[in-house]
Amino acid sequence: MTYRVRIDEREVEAEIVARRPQLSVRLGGTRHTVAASALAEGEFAIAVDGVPHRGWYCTIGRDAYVRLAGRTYLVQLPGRARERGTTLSQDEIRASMPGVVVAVHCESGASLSAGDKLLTLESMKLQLTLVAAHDAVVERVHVAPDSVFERGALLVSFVRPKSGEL
Amino acid sequence: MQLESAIRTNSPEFRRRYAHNKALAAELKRRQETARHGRPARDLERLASHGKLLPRVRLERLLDSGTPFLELSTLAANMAYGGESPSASCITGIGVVSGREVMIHADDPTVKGGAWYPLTIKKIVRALDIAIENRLPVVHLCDSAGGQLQLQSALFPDKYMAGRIFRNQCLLSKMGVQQLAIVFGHCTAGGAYVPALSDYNVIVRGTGAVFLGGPPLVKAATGEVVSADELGGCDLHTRTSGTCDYPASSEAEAIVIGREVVAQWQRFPKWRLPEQPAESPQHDPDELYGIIPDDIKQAFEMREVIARLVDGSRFHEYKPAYGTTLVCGFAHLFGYRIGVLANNGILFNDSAIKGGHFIELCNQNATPLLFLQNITGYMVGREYEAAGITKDGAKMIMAQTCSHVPKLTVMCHGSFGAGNYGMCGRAFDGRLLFSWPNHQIAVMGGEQAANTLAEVKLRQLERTGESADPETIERIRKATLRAYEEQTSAYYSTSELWDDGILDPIDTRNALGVALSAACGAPGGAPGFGVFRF
Repeated sequence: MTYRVRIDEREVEAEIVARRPQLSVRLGGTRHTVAASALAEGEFAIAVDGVPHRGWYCTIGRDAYVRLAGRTYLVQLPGRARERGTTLSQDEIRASMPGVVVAVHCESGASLSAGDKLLTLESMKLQLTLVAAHDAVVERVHVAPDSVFERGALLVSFVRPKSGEL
Repeated sequence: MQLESAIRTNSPEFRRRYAHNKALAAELKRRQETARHGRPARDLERLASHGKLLPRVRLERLLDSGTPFLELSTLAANMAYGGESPSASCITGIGVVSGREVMIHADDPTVKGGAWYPLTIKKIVRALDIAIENRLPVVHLCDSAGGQLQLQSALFPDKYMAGRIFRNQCLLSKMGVQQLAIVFGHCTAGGAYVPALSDYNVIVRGTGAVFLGGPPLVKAATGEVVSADELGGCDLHTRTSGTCDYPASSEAEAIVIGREVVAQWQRFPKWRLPEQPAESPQHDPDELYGIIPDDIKQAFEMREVIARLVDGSRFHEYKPAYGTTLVCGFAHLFGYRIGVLANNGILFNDSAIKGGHFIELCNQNATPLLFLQNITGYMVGREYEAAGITKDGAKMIMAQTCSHVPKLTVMCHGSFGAGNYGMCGRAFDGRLLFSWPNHQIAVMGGEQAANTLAEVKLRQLERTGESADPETIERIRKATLRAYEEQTSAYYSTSELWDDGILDPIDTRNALGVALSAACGAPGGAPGFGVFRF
């Protein structure tokens, strides 16, 4: 199986030749034997062709920052996304400002994917469409079209996920 | 980190917006094409019969081939003078001549002999202001009958009228920023000072002439009968008076000499250079058409726009969890580091404070600022006033105004009320300001304004004892709304030179690249800020 990754500014192709008995990877025509293990949070140990290294990594969105041998490499993995630290999982949405409801796009019990529309609100002549930050099930929509709300009002609540689901 | 896109290109909303904005872009191209090339055949024939080239042909021969030319305010005056002054009768823009970035000002003799309308003068003054702010040498291609006499009160007496052109020319020369004038046609009255105040000038034999008063005026004043060539032609000025420097036997020769003159000029060191190789955005700029709403009232995710403007779609966001209605962060554009401020909703206390702080960071960090506007204003209401929204907005305006780093602005959608000020609207000396075709600007939105004005009219009627039936009220409201909306449109805005031109959204990245390169030609003013109201 071949993976294309971007390391700093370079496109790199890595082919996994074998997974057993040892991980064997072909990089630029050369075959390497790799043994890797995760240590504490974000820390890993890796041996490439028998030479041991120790490093740290951190992923933000599609980017992985890998710290190895005194350098930090930016590794971009296509098609892989993770939430950023700033995106909190939500079990309700409250109004961040006073306004009026223009449209309701979801209903109680609906299963939503990240990016699905929830409500369109208007405040200060600007219409803002709220979308689901992550996959969720709507418990209840607390407002109706044309209803006026104050800052902090509860707009939509989600079914609380069982622990371990998020 | 690289910005991710959450848009769904197969959604009905994306497709509807895409079709809408694509049509707006096509309409823009059509209007630009007409402004550039739509001229009556007789005007073109008359020009050819004098052995003259079209102004855009002159430009094409002057500019280095294969280099970009960023034309400014192509649709200036498109809603003025009954449309009889396309592009405000002149061409301005930033281009490359003999390897040097220069500002071009070219008169357009295909329109009323190149006569200057009030907006022509506003456009030339603006071009020279840009030259001053960015230390851009100037090449003037002169061919103008002078000011439109019928409109003299709107083009002669005031501070920013005709005299400002010559004042700006003197300042440029004093700054050591060179100017060249090539005299293709007549430079009469005030227009005569354009070549006279240029550091270098070239004049074409036979058609070029420079004089304070043309033959008809001389005859009326003194009775002297004299031909234009005898009065102020090539040989008189290059052999006798010394008003002109280089004689040329044809327009083609004049352009060759002009290019050689520019090639002698020293190059100024740039204030900032690209830090890394340019890289295309990872996300397709064509998708901008499906992102921009088809309704002026709608907010949209500005990170989707940033992802389609900046190098590699990479954006280092500052304070991502605080004051979230103003997106701030660092990115690169054609390798230049920039600080981006983009509206993602109404400006609240926290977003205004964050914006002000980020502007200070960019000043400390010598980073040019890019403002992406879609703003209906700072939040109003008792709670927000009590929290100091007015003084927080004032902080942002203070930081923005006093910035010594170059500022660029793109009007991405609405620009209403005081948000326009904080986000570097026209009054705040941004180096360049562009609009998208969907842009609307006004002190308040059209509907509120129409309702307010209709209300005022009704009260007036009531005072005189008349009453208005609902139909009359609606008629007043609609008429007010129509008039208001016309003046709110991007076309009206660009007609009045409230911007430096409307951009097809897909061209924004390239235009900003040229703008940044020009802006980095000059350092900003002195660092420092006024008193922030804490």
